[in-house]
Amino acid sequence: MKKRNLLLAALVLASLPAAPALAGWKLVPHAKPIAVAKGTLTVTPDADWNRWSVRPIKKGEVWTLDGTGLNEVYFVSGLIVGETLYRDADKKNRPLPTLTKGMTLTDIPEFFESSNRIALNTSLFTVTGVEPAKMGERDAVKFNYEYAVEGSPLKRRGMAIGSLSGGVLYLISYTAPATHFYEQNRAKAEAIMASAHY
Amino acid sequence: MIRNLLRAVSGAIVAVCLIAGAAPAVAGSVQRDGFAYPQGQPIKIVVFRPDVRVGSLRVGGLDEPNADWTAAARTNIQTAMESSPQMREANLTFLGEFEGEQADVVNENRGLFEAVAGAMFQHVTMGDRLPTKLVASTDPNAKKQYRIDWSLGAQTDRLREVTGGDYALFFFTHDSYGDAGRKVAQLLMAGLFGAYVPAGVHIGYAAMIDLKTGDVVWFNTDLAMGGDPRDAEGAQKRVSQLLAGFPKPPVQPTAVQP
Repeated sequence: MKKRNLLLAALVLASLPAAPALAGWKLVPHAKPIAVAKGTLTVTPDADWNRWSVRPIKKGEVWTLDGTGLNEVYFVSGLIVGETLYRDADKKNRPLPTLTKGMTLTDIPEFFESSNRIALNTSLFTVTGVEPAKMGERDAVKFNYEYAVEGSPLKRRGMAIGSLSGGVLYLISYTAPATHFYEQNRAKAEAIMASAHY
Repeated sequence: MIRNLLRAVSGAIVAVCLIAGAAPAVAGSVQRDGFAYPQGQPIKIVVFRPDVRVGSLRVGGLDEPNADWTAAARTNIQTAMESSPQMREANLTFLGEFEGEQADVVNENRGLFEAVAGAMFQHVTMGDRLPTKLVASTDPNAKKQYRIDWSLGAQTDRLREVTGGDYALFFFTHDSYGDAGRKVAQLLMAGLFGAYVPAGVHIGYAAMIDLKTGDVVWFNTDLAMGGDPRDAEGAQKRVSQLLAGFPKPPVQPTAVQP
């Protein structure tokens, strides 16, 4: 009986929501080159930013100015074949797409879009423009996007730059509410992207 | 994915509230540094329809909305606000529903406000401080101070045109009452391990926006609100808590029509 009670209690414990520990933030000073996402991708911001101690994936990193829901820069450095852009929240039912062998620059926007559609659980995600770009001296692709999620009247906009070298992905995205925040901090995000190299 | 987790203030608050469990209640009313009402002129404060959500909380933490409870709570809170001595003293103007383009502007700002409130909740109320908000000081012994400078931007001037107000008040409350299964789990955990499982969620926040600048000039949060908004008496208590620390206007505002 006691064993059964313990088992039941363990099941209850396991089913309780996990504790989302409060994040810690570190200052990223402006005008100093810094390697991001534990990889070789390096940027030099023109303004001070806050770096989150929590990493969405091992090769990812998040920066913000006022809070991730208001302005978020997401870095991915050195994603390899078989890895996902975000952490798989429901791998069994809604797996995130993985980076595949033979992927080219033009595939990056679609990979980003399909990853976000699943991660954000929204069908309202649109890539609005794709153009060739440079990440340092490497070829890259730059694109814009916008989306909304169910239950919120807020529209969000973003831009991203991605590059592939030997099948390994390097990516930076900037996302903010379309109202006020996107334009307010767009230049700071562009400065980060323009300084990026690996 | 990260922004998805933190996007909606309700989700963030509920999550933290659940893990906060038996911790001391997290509450606080803050004003923007240097905020003061303009002197010698009438000011107009408008109140948007409170965002009220009520549901039940399952043992696994699933928060299930209840339409009947929500409707009752919405009516009770609106009534309590309109009859609140604090609100009547401030001569606030309650806004109804909008239509067409006006409704789009209001909804867009309501969504933006939720995002801003979520960030303020995390980085001000919960103390998850952002280093870039640290106020520089030459005194090494000085207590650290952080700027409270969140804003919806000057685009809120459109709300001014729509409502005629100088300032706008937003309210949000979210209650989730533990269902039978959760109550059993609560007893089980207490009996077997002396552990605490929170019975439900009772949170709320209120804020005032300067519609000329979009600046959040007052923000109040409570993670353990009292009063059951499903009944009239409980709603009165809830409204009183939501208005704790509300900066009372110095002059009587004039009436504004939506």
